[in-house]
Amino acid sequence: VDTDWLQPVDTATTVTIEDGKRRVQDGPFAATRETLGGYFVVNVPNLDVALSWAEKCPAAQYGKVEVRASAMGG
Amino acid sequence: VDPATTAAGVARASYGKLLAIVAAKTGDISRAEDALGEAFRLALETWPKTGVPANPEGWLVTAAKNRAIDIVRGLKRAPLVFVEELPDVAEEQDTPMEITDRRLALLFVCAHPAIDENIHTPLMLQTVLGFEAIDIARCFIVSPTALAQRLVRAKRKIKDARIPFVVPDRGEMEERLSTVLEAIYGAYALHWMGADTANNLTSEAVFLADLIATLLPNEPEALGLSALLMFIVSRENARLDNGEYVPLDEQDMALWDQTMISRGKVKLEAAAKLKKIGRFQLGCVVI
Repeated sequence: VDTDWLQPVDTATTVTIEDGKRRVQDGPFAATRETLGGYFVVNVPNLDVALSWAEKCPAAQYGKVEVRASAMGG
Repeated sequence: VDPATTAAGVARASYGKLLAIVAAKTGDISRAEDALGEAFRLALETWPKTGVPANPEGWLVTAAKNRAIDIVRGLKRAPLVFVEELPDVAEEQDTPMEITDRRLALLFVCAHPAIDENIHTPLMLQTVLGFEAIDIARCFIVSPTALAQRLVRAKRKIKDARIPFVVPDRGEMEERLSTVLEAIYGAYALHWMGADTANNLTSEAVFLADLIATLLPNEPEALGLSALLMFIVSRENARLDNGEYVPLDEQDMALWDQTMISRGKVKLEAAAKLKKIGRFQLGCVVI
């Protein structure tokens, strides 16, 4: 139904909300206890816009949202 | 003027400005560095024959942009015609104002929160000031190979994650600016903590702080950091006596740099007028 090819994991950025403030970090979510819970695909021009969407994701309130670009281009 | 000397002069004075322009077009700092390097090489070949162009910076930017396009297309060498095409394009674009803006955007890219904060300062030193990785590594007391790899990785992330070359808008400015100022302050602190004086980053940190304060004249903390560094640097010659730290009240005031102090005062007064206190402005009061 759906497939994509992502940019390498070392280009990942992680977003989380702490005390109502956005925290942006270089890298993927690392701890092994954390697992992938779902994904959203957004069509945006750059990382800053992607981060602002990640921040709105409910999961950012209690977990982490990893942002990766598609490597499929376009 | 000797073309080689002009090229070298432009390289020193304008490297960061030129790199910022070329990188902003492509979002790819590594490619921009390669292209700009090629443009300088081309200038050294061409200028002795044709004379130095009226707008050397514009010429170099155009040459580098063309080269960046060629690299994308996978060409090994630029077609010869493009050298002929350069002058007219160079005259009509890239006014000094545009050049200024791009360098500011590059500073914000280097200190983007999605980039590991430990590499913010080295990235700025390399891209805005044109330092070699090997010299930066010496200042940070890390292996040149390891640092070079981290710089490459950061630049790849900027490209692949598509970090935009823009100055943040009002809503994000405060948070984003503080990471830029931290990185500049870090360059200075590194020196103060006793890094080899032969490789000190003092004047570079003062330059970057002055640059960002000039480009963002309505940001009190940018002005505050610039003032703070100027005040600290003004006492550079009085700070040590035979390798021993001299407390402030025992320092020989005749050794203080009065020009630096008055430049700092101008910045601090401008900051105070904006009526928004912050850590760097407070730092000025404390020291």
